[in-house]
Amino acid sequence: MRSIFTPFTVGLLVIGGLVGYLWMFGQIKGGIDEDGAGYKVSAVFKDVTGLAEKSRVVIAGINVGQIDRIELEGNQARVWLLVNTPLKSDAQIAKRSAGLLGEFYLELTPGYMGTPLKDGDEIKNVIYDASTSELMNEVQAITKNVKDITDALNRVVTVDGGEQKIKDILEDVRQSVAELNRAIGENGPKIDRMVDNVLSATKQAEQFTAEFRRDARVIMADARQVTSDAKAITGNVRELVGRNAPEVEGSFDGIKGAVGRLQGALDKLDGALTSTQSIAAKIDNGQGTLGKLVNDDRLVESVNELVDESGRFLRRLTRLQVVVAMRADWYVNQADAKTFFEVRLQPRPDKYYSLQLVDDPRGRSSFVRRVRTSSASDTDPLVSEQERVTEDRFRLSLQFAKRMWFFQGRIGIIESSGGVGMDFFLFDDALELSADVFDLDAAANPRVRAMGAVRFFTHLYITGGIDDVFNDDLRDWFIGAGVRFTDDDLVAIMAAAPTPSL
Amino acid sequence: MSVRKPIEAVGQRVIDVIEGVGKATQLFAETLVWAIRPPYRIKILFNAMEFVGVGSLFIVLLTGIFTGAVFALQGAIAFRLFNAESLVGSTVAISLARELSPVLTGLMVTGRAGSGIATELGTMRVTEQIDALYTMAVNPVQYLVVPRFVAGLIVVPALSVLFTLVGMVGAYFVGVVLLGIDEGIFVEKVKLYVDPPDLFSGILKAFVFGGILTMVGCYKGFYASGGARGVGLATTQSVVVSSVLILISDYFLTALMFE
Repeated sequence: MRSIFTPFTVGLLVIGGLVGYLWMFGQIKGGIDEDGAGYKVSAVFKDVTGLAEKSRVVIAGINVGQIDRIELEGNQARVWLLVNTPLKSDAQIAKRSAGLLGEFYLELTPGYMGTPLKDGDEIKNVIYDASTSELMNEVQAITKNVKDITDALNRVVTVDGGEQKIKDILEDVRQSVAELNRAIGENGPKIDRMVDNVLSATKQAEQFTAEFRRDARVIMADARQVTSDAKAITGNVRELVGRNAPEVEGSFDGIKGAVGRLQGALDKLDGALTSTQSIAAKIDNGQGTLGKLVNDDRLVESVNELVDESGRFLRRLTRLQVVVAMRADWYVNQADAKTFFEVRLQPRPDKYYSLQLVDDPRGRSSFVRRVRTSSASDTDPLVSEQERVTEDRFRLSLQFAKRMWFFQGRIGIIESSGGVGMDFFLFDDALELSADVFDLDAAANPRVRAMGAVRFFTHLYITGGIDDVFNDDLRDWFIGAGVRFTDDDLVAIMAAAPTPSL
Repeated sequence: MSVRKPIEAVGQRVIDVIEGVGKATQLFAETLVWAIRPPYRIKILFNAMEFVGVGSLFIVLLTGIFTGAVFALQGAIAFRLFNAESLVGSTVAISLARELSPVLTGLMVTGRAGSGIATELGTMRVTEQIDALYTMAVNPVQYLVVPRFVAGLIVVPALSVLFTLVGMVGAYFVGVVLLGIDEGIFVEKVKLYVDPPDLFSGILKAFVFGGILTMVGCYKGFYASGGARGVGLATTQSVVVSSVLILISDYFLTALMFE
């Protein structure tokens, strides 16, 4: 037993050791094939601290080789790499830190252009990274700055109620900005208008002042002339007096009167000048019509508003579209045609008012209930009869329509009775599906009309549908054709016609 | 007279040591010579391998698994200071492969098998069985020493490899399962940092240690004298000398291989 057992256990031990060795060897051997599938290239580094033989060489984080040896070349280090991937002459290499513990590896960028590198070639593009110590210096400088800032902040905040003050300031600023924003937003147009008014008023005042100055100059010149004339007269008088004293004596009374009149004229001139001055002052103060014209903004504002209003009105008018439509449907069972004429007033693309005149051979049906008392019958003294009365071949529709995307709702009077309708616009409005409900009468089901219209050649369209869907006896199929166009001449007529005001 | 005696004693010691080295070298040389000379005693070799290897397997594996585990634990505590726990696996793996596995395997086998060899051969010496072998024209070196020596050379490296393996299992258990180190990173770093030469140097050391511990055991037993006490002394001495030699030679082997 023992003779068999001994070799077996010993064999197990040896085989276990061998297998363990081979397995571990296989596990750790991953990566570069050291037997020379790779080739050697070199690169010159200023600093190879942290790199060692067998340090990793990676591309995009994948091992593609290792450092074969490092040798000193002048004051730099030449690093020989054993790599197993093709490299181009524009390949780059950089020393990268794998952690803060001073472990480094080389990162390659294989290059895209240039000649492939051969065994023994050199990678010229060496990228220098900031070393950990350089990084630490940077960080230190930054830290100092941060510390300074926080110190300053601390000083501001830690004074009595500093924090609250900052909060208050911020709140005030926020409110002011909001206020300002609101004011500008609300009064933007007003402010614009104010500025315009001020400008125009200034201009007018300037003009007026210039005119006034010109006038004043003329007045002054006249006054001067008058004064000089008076002077000349005085001279003449003096001469006359000297020469013909006795005559003068005689005519002194006459002269006295003339002088008196002259005095009166001068007084009037003075009065005129004062009045002119007073008028100018009044104009300046905004008194009187002219003053108001010069100084009051309200007139300008009113004119502005008037122009705005006119603009809005014109815009609305020019936007208004008048659509005219005519259509005829052939009712199959009835073997008769129904004709429509419609005018749509469309102030906006998404809404219109429609006036439709309808000529319907079927007319409008209503039910009349008559109750007769019969004395002849004992058992059933009352005879009730219901009669359908059809009248009004010609009928009217008046509708308001509002569109939202592809859906349009209508409400109003449809064919002389209250009703609602809806439309769906499909394929760029080329297909229009409509349903109308109207003629709501208690005695019968409401009249429901479903139809489709296909538009072609812009203005023409054909229709088809079913009318009075829920009333078996009156249900009818129809097909038809129509034309619909926008008429600008009608808009002009509408503009010229007197507009009812609300 | 009184002065000569201590000097004589010291001199005798020196002479004994030098004589011991000489005898050991002689025995080693004889062993090498007889190892390559027929007849090859395969059965005895297997018995020796079983005694040295299979007998030590359990204690070696036990030591291995706990060595790896405690190393991972200590490593994790230290590396955690640098946020570098991912390096635990590779550190333990390199330590095991290069140093711990061969040295601890050597010491364990010394304690268990080296002492056993010394006792067995010492007993044979004092009971004159070795002399009896001479009379039967059987060379006791070839018959007793060579199989044990060769067995040591073969099985100690194998035990060392297994020590590394189970040590890594222990490290994995502590690191990944207990301490929650990322498994992928743990394994990846082991593969990244442990190189084939690390494994190979460990095996080479184990090979040398296997030779040392069996040779010392054989020598101490082969030249035992003084009855039962002499055998006990030989056993103790074989363990002490083997252990010291293993540690000293480990340093020189490391210096030789890695510098």
